[in-house]
Amino acid sequence: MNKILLPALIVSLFMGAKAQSPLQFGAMPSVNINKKFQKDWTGNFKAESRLILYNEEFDYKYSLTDLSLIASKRISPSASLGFGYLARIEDNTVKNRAIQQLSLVRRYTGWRLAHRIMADQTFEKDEDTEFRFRYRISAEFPLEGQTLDVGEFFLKAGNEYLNSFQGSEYDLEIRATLLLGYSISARNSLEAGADYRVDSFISNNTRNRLWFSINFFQSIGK
Amino acid sequence: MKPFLALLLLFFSYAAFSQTKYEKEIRVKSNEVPQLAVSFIDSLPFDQKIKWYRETGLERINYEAKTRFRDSWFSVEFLNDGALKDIEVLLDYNALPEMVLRKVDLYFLNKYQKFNADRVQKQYSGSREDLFELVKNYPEEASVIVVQYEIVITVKVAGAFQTEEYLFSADGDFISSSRVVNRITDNIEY
Repeated sequence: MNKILLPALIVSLFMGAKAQSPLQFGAMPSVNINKKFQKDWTGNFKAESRLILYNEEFDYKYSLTDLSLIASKRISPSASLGFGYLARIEDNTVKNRAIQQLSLVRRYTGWRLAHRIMADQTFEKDEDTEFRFRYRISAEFPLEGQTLDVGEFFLKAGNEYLNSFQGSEYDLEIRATLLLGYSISARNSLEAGADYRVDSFISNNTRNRLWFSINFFQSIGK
Repeated sequence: MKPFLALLLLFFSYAAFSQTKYEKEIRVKSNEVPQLAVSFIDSLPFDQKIKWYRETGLERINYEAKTRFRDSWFSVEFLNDGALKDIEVLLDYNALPEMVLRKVDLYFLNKYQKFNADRVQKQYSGSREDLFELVKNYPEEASVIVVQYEIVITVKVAGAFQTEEYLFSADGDFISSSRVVNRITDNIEY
């Protein structure tokens, strides 16, 4: 089932996004490095770039790189509270973003479910501060057996809602992701798939963006 | 962009060399399972779909048949040659027999002050015939069956949460415990 359904789902996601306009298409590779510290503290470093491949016409353009660092503490068997900073490097300028997040991960027989509630504030010279309140739900399903073991593939699906307030303006962005992942070892995994984002539809100026997302996760230390 | 790509490449090559030994559990079809195991499952009054799994460890291979029967989740475990190992049924922690619940609760509270029960399984072992009767008459239990309780809990030890798997006897006495290593969740948290 999975061998047929999965490519069909990814293709339909691409086709669905392409049917509307305007569409921006690009690649979004990222590297995540995670380190555990004592007393359930975790540090997460992420580097993510965006490369635009299509924007009303085929055109390769490097867009930006985000560098972020989040420190989080597990506060219950399933919840973690995190605080962090992100630097967005774009057109030789740097935007600064403060991040606060609460994540909840539940393990069920055969799959895992995560909720993430996040607030961020983006500071930029000569611009009003942008405040965002976000909620993301994501699930991970092993494709072979009931648990994900090393050397096996998994499917990760996510849906996120981002409320943005900047000056007197409000916008809602909706994201949907579908990724195929592979567990390389107990410490690292690789995922690739589609990340579709739609925003500005409230102001009747809908913008569709479709990213080919490729993420590498590495856990270091103990 | 070049430093970023170089970093990515570095990690991929590192990842390829960092594989460690592991246990593996995969879904299999019934024709890949020893006939002795399949015939036992076929003889039982299970009326819903049976899912077969093969668990490969460092020194052993086990087979497992999972299904839902009379409102409970059943897992029937077999050894590599198809010999019956045990039958496990999922339980709610609070559905443990009153005496067992009281003893187990006391044991955990003495040891940890606070705990969170993640998963409870009742394990039945005995002869093929006895276990056949057990399923046939479930939830009634014959006294010839050996019962143990496997309880997975999350506790806080020295300021950090950890998951432990405990085994208790039918009377709620401690038998053994081991640490559970949970898979890293960074890819759904960040």
